[in-house]
Amino acid sequence: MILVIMHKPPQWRIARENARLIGYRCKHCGFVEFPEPRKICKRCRKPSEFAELQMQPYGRVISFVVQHRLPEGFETPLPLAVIDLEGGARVYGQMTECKPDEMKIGMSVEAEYRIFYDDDGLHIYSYKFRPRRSESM
Amino acid sequence: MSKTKQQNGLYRKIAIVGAGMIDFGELFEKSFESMVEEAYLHALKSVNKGIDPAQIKAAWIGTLYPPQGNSGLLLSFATGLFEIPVTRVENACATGSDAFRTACMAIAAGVYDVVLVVGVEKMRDDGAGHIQRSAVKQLWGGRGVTMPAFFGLHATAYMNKYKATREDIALVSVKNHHNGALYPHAHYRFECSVEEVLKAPFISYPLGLYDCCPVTDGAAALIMCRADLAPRYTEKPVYVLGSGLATDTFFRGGDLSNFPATQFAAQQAYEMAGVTPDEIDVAEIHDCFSITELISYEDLGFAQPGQGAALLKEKRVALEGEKPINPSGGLLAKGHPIGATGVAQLVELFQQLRGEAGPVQVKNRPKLALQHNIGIGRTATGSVACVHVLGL
Ligand SMILES: [Zn+2]
Repeated sequence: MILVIMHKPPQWRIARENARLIGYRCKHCGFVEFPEPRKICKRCRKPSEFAELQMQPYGRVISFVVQHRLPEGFETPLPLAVIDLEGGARVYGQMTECKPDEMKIGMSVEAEYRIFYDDDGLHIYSYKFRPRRSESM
Repeated sequence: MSKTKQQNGLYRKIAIVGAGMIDFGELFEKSFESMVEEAYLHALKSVNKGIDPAQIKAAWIGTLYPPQGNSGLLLSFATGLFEIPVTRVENACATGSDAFRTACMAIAAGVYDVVLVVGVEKMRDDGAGHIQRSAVKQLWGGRGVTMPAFFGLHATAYMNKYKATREDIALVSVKNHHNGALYPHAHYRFECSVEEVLKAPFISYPLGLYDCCPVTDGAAALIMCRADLAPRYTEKPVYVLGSGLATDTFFRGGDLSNFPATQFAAQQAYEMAGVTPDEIDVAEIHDCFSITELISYEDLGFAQPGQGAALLKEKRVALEGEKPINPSGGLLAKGHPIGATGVAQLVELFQQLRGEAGPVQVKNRPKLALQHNIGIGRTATGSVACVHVLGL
């Protein structure tokens, strides 16, 4: 996978995790930190060791909304979900290629690397989610 | 209840002796500092036996979006309280209540005898700007997750888990707009029906326009003192019995059908006060969105999980009910000037407990009152809750 050059430090610091869906699993409790590697676990609250984890681009919708009022730069109505990646982290997922009335709690989704937004003319890439169509890569 | 815990906490160590607020609304004619000044003057005037501002030994200001820098100086310029410690507090939607809580700690520690707390927010000057600017340039940290989206995610999860309906949730807006229409300080003073709530345009499905609080300007102020000094200022002090504050994030887990931060904060406050949820007579709880109030009934222990709507259907939380909730109309009607919100809730409960709440005075002769905020922070990735128990 191609690493996109990002010109601002906040995106540069998590460029690899963002592009490759890399998480970090707590050795105490199994919680997956993402996208920033950490030394203390949010869930068990312990200083811990974390093992690097290649997450899969598939997940399940925990809850969702359909946003109708958003600042410029967003298309509306825009479904937005909280997604548990398979065996990985919980993330916010902006939906794409998805009708608002397709959204259901428990539905399977897949992650796709897309232009996420433009920052001073530069494309910033990250993952958007769409209803899952394939069962394997 | 444990006596030791009460002695270690704030239990009956602090008395509120003065409380005042300005009428909330779209206040283009008033500056940030003139709003603070006015709320402070109302609070001074409400002290029955009078108070000399020179007796105020420290002050806290709760505000999220101050217009001129981030320091406590705004409070000094507004009140003339220079030469004493003045500190600004910010903690998401618990900003005002945490300013109050922090001031309580200073009295309980024995450092100050008399203090002032002001909560204030000037939101209309910049329209929706404060809210809209949040979280636009984020990769995984909640890009485009607005406040209605965050609470809407909980609404969808709650409806799915408990088979609740948009009608159930709408009952919160109907009740609070009914109360707000009577409340002199409310931004919105109109009633609305369930049908109107359901037919309003969606902001963030499943939440529509009337499920959301307005963007409002406002300020509120409280004067507190060491409990044993209260008789100098009033024969009707209101005591702080318990206080709690906690944070959480659903990125640690959970099904989004509740707000664990509220549960943690409430547990701390109830334990400190030595009371149970059933004993609370009147409450001002955080209804930034209709769903927030419904879920908070359950997090605060007023209803079992999934059973919150029954309190509305049976009118037990109505103005004339056995446990009136948000007699002021709540954030939905009164408005939600963020830093002012928690302080204004405490002002309202001070008046309710003293029987001075005018057209929204509850009829159950309240002796115990609860104040609650649940807010979101860190670009909609975490939550902060604050709970206080007050009593006569
Ligand atoms: Zn852990």
